[in-house]
Amino acid sequence: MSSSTTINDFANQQYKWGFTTDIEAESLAPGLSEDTVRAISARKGEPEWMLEWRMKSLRHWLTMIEPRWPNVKYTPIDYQSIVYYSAPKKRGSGPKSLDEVDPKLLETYEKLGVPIEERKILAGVAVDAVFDSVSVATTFQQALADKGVIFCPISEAIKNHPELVKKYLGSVVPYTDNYFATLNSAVFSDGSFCYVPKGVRCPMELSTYFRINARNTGQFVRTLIIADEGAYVSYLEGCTAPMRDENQLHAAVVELVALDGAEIKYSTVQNWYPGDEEGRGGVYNFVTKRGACRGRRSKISWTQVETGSAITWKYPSCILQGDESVGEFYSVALTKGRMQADTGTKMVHIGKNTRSTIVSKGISAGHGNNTYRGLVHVAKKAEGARNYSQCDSMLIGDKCGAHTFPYVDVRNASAQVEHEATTSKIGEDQLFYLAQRGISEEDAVSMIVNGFCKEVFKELPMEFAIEAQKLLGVSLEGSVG
Amino acid sequence: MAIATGSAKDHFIAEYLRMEPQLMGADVDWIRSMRRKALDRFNALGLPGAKDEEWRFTNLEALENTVFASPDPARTYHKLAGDAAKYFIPGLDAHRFVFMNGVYQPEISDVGELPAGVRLMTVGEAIGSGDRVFRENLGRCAEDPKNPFTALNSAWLQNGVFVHVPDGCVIEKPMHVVFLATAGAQPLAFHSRNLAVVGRAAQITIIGTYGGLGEGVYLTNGVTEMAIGEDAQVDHYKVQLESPGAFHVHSMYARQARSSNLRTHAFAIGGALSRQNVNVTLAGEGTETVLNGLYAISGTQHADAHTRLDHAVPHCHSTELYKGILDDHASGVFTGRIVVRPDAQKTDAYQRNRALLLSDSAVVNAQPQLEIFADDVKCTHGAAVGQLDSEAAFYLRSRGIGLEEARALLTFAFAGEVLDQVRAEALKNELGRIISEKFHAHNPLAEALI
Repeated sequence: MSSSTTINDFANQQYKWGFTTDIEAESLAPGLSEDTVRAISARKGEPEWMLEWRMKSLRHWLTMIEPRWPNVKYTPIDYQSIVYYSAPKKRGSGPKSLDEVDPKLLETYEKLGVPIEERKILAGVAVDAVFDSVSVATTFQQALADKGVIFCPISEAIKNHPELVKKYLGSVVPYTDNYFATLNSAVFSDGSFCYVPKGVRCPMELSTYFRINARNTGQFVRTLIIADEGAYVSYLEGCTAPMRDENQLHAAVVELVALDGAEIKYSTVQNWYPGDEEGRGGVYNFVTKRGACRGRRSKISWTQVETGSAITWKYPSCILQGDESVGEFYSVALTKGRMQADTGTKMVHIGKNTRSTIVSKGISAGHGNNTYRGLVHVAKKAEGARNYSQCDSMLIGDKCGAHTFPYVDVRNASAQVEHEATTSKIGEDQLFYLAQRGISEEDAVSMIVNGFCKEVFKELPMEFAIEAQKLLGVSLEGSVG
Repeated sequence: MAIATGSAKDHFIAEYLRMEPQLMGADVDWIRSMRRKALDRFNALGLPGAKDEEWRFTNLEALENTVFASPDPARTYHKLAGDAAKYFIPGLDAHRFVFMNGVYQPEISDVGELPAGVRLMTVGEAIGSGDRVFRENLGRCAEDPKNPFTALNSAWLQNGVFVHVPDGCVIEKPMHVVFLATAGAQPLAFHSRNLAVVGRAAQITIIGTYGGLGEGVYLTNGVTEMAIGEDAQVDHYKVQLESPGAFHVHSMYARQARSSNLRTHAFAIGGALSRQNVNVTLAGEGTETVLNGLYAISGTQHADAHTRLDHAVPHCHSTELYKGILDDHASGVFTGRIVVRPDAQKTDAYQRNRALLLSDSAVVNAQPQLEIFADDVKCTHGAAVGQLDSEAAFYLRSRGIGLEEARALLTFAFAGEVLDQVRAEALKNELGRIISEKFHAHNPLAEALI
């Protein structure tokens, strides 16, 4: 079989989103100090309390040490050489509607396939696009406003809805949480804010698109989503970055709050630039994502498809505080070339009769290293907690690695916790069977891999599921044999 | 109990240096240099803290706050001979070695007849006789540069058993090595060391029992090394029945050559705090390994089991089953790592971990870990934590068996899966008796099940 050549082709697949947009950007000089934080805050025209919170975070961050425990290797990050704020330069007083947005920007998003324009209304997606550090345009504001849903850049929310931001910002991921979350708390530039009022089912899927464009910039995005009693919202995020030789840092924080009976579904398709075959360049994706199921019968569901980034290091988590609350985590993580991923989830069962499901699929190809690391914690009072975890790894080629490090911590006898993990490769018999049916090897591989990931893809909203399948197909082209 | 003023590490080193001239083989050059190297390593490592990932869930504060002395070399133990007998396994016909506080007790040992060519002696004798096989193999399997307890053990190199089974030799009767400790008001520490070198196509069964007499506080820091030759078969059982106040740390290191077969079982039942490390390196193709374990704890006992199966070459097969029963405020830790090295293709590794919580105050931390660097492998692990099956209990009650009894019966059945794999019949019965007593299964039904 020529499988090895196919595998190689697959592993050597070029990054297709690596263009840069030639746009004038207004950036701060590289470096991090109290002045940087003040400058960011001033540019955003933030109120005093916000600046104080940032300063508190910065001071705390300076006392912290970068964690070294993950199963990833990277050259130390020089935090003084990063540009902490970069915004596309405004013409005049800034865009009032889509027509006024820099056409070059819109072109970029069009290349990326972001449904930012009205003609894409059929897609039914409201987008908050974050370009480097600021939200560029937010669509469908009116339709959402009619329902009472607030969906805007977080910088606007700080100005227009300070009571909500004050109440919830940092309530799930406190500014002292961890090294990268604290850094984000100090220098976050923008991000999305969403509030769905009581009993409202958000009429469309909300979406953010992140793109790192400028050189040497870090992207520090902060997302805060609140679903009030009985509300429902589905939120999508997608990410790309241009090809650069140097590494770019993406340290975002996402906080979700679900009150009584509320449900939040959060889907990510991450396709940051993964670096070249030798591992030069690429994005460091060090993200803190956490959701709190505060209310009874609330539900938070994370779905992620991680096909990019030189290093992915994140653990979308659920704090199941409310009785009968539900947490879910579905993940596909693909590492190829020299990519590394250390990802998984934390399910913290605090309320009674809480349930959680973890389905993680790791695919390693080329020299990729894929680690699942997860925690299932059942607190002493969490009567009747139930968890099911499944971590499957697929290895493509003999130079890659797959690792599983689940932590199970049970303090209540009525808990039922199950964990299963398997490791496999694409079987020669499977490929042979498909070849026999006239399916080319490449298609066969793609089919097997998609089948392997099906359980996760079926959790994604339709458009994303298709995109994810394509991404995976493209990312794997030429990897299998 | 004396409270430490300096650091625990300093106390261990000071005590070692005080005793060094009196240790066996103190005048033998290679032993002396080996000891000093190990002591330096221990000094560099220090005792593990809570930040140490390998020790995250086992708090050593109580151990660190205790100053351990060494047993008085002049002390005799004749009076305790009767008490020691409770650790002998009824009905087990074995070559028996008994150590009290690290001192070999020939009066209550029963070495018996051995097949020709087998060399079986205490480590002290092996050092004295300058045995070549002993010298070549000592410390080879226990190469574990990050484990301070192993380093400390290698520094002390105190008594234990050395056995060399020549090629093709089969030892029919099991070897039973009993380490007993008895401490008074002064906490004591013992560092026992065993070494088994099993030749090509040789066979041996080794049972190690660790027990305590009296209520004193002591630390057992044991290391067992096994170099297993081609086609050899080794059955190994470690039974930990320490006193309620004891600290127990034990590391087992085995290295398997081509087509060898190792079955190792660890039972942790006693002690206040116990830590069991099992490290098996599958170094030759076609090896088979069965790694089983059971911890059955109650009260405020803490049991920690760390296993590591290192698949270094292709075509090896390993099966692991580790179970835990926890009652009252007991806490248990299981960390089971399977490493598949690059090129160790066609590896088949299976690991299963189950914990049974009998109380809401018991805590379990389980971390099954897979580290895989080869693509054509079959690796599976499963971990589950739960309580007794309420339907099974209901079934038993509908047959007229009281709740308490049903609970005891089901608990015993849970342990049965591991006990059933014990090939030494007498040991299996004895373990069954100890476990059912511990969880109050005093009913004829449970005994009938044994």
